[in-house]
Amino acid sequence: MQAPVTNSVATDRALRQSPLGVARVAVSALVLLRTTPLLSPLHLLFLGDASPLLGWPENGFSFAWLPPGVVGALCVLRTVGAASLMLGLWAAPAGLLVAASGLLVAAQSPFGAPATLQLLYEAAALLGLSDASAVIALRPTPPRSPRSSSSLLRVFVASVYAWAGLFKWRPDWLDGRTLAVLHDSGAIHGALADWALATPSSRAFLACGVAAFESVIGPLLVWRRTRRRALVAAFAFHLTLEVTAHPDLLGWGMMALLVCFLD
Amino acid sequence: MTGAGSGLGWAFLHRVLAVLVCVVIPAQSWLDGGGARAWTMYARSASYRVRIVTVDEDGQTRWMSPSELAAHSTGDLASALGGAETFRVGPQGFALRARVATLAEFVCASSHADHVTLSLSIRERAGAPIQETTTSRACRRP
Repeated sequence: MQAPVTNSVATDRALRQSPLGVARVAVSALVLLRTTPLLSPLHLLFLGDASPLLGWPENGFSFAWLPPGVVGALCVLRTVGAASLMLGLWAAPAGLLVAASGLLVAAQSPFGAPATLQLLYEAAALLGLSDASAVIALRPTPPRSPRSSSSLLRVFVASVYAWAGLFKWRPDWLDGRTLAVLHDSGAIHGALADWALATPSSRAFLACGVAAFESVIGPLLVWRRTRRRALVAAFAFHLTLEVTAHPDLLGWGMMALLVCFLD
Repeated sequence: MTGAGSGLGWAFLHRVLAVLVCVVIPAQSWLDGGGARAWTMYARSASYRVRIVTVDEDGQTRWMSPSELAAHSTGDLASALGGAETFRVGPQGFALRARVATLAEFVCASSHADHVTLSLSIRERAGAPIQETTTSRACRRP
């Protein structure tokens, strides 16, 4: 017979989920910022399609395979799901709703879900199905499996870095050609980028450095001994990318998820 | 016991989700050649170009600019077509190639031509040879 859980033990368990709760609020807020016109006053280029809601059906020719009314309803459901997840109301179905409706809307475009949306939607589902709603929630759920909840989100973040790093072990990335193309096209820009990518050798050096960083940062984050320094490095990495490449809201999404590594 | 059993159930679910989201989905995307769901973002030097030739009912042939086609579209399709008269850096060419027939249909609808030929050129990475995909279709009129 299991010993009854005292209030202090339950509170302690719940508080240990605080990082997950913060990540849940941050990720769902990013979903709302990316898929609604909330940030339209900033006139950010990559948010031009978020009005009235991202993926809202428009008149004229379309690649969509769902009727416009259904697509519109999915856009509304995605928004409701994200708001519910952020507030901590029925977080598990809310997270699944965000992921399912978001990915279905994205599938109506020939280009599918870009990396930012894939990250946010998958994270929303995982956070909803974890103990992220045990804290900072209007309707908190009792902690169900705190250890595996934290592990799930940490492994997810580590896997994103691992796959990204794996793809870069190619000659055309490692010799700096891809960085040169991205720089010439304006995808990477600014004084810092101009300086760092000025010569073929600096481009190759940076390319190898990024590939190596993404390949090792996941295990370094997971391993307790190196976690603190790895967190600092990871935040610095994403902030640098924000300055030089403005990669949609991807960097902010990753930084929101890095909170899961805080003890 | 109920609590412990429930906890074990959730732990099992988390393991399944970890395998699915962290391994299966990215691996499947990598194996199907696209890599779109394998976190390959901003690591490609692929580029693409679109060329469109239309023939009107009088038999006149003319080039149609992808930017002109972009003006008839919205969202990320408009963004992908704009400026695609010359090679544009981005992976969008792969998605367009997969839907080139539908894209030709779109050209028909936008140009009111009798016949269209659409050519999509893709370089998979910087310095790679150009891969051409061409489709032609007669435009049906009601």
